[in-house]
Amino acid sequence: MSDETRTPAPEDETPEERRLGELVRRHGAYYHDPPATPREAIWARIEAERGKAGGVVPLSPRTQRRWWLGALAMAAVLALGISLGRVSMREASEREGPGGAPVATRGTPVPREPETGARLEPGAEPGAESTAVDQLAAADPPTVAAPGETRGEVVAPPAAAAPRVAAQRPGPELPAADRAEPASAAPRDLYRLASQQMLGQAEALLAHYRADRAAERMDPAIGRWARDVLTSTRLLLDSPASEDPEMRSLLQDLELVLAQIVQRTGQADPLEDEMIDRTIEDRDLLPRLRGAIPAGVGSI
Amino acid sequence: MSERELIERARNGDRTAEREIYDAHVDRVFRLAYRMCGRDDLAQDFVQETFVKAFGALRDFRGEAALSTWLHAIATRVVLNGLRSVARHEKRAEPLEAADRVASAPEPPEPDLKERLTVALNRLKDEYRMVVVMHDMEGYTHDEIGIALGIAEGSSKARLSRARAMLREELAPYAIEWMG
Repeated sequence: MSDETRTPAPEDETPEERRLGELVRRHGAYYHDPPATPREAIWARIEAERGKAGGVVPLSPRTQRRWWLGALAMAAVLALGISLGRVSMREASEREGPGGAPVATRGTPVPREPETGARLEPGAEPGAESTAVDQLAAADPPTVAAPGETRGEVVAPPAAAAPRVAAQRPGPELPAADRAEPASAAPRDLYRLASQQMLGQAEALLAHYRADRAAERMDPAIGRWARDVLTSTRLLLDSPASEDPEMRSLLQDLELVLAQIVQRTGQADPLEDEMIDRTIEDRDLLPRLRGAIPAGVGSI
Repeated sequence: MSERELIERARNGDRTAEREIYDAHVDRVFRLAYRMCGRDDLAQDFVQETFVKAFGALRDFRGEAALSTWLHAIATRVVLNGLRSVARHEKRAEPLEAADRVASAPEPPEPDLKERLTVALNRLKDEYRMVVVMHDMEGYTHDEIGIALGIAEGSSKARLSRARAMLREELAPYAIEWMG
């Protein structure tokens, strides 16, 4: 596209046409005059899109296996998260007893990290830090009281890989609610992680669907993909992840469109496709999904 | 580095090469997309889809045309398909909007030539408007337009001529002004 081509002067133009052409060229300064290209923003979107969907070309069998495995992994994470959540809630309610509020039964004060107030497990060095994964693992142990420990205490598993620091507020006698906090933190983190991964999958799926629609073709595997994401969506809807009204509304809208895609028959039906398009557009699904996925988080 | 080398590197998954290709072409693709839709969000959608498709299909690029021509062929398809989809959506919403307009909108003042030309351009079918935008506003040759749209060079000229005839009709009340 060379610059000298910017002055078209085909010999076969009439003077009137030429004048009109000049008028349109001048008008180009006003007609949908493009702003500066948001290069970085678009590049980030391209990277995210390609990272998630692996491009919008039809899925190869290898790619299909990848997202299928991803969906399975995601479902497993969700199932684990929900199990943990249920066990933790049951344990918490057992601890609370009939009176509702749990009784503080801590025996001896536990040494704390001077700066953060984080409780140190025996043998832990001040300054030892736990990773996010450690903390995820750490939050479940309250359901199991170690020998010699009072039930309800946060106890690190004996394994060396177990977390040694559990964040709590300072003070020798902790309010019961504070002690219970780490118990629910792990499932919450797990739900958050699973939600983000599921939303990433959903966004990749819808982008892929939209691209296929624009190209007037349809990936035959899209129904199966949508079914897997739909299963995860429903699991999340039944989990504490949907306690946030915004997330719940997003999951419900997602459930609707995924169900439409799952029910879509293999043959092209313009009416079905129009309804799916309409749901995606009317409910602003893609922008909402993108808004709900933190930068750097992709599908599994 | 030559374009061929760059493409080869990008084909082998070199993200830096992909970024170089993107940097070299994104402005023109974005300008074209924006000119056609007049909306930043849509233009970004179109550009994103263009490059995602292009990088995904780079292995199929045989180098018979320049990379920019090939990219523009993808971009024009993406834009035209995207606009069709938007038009379908807006058509569904139109009856309600039209009713609102009848109920509340005051009579607009007599538009000037500039406004009238904008309206006239918007009324052109996208296939015609694309040629006008590419040729008269963005300076593509008929040869380039033909390759990008998958039509003969002569068809591009014919479309431009037809589009101008339609514009001329729309602008008839302003003929004295624009004919000078």
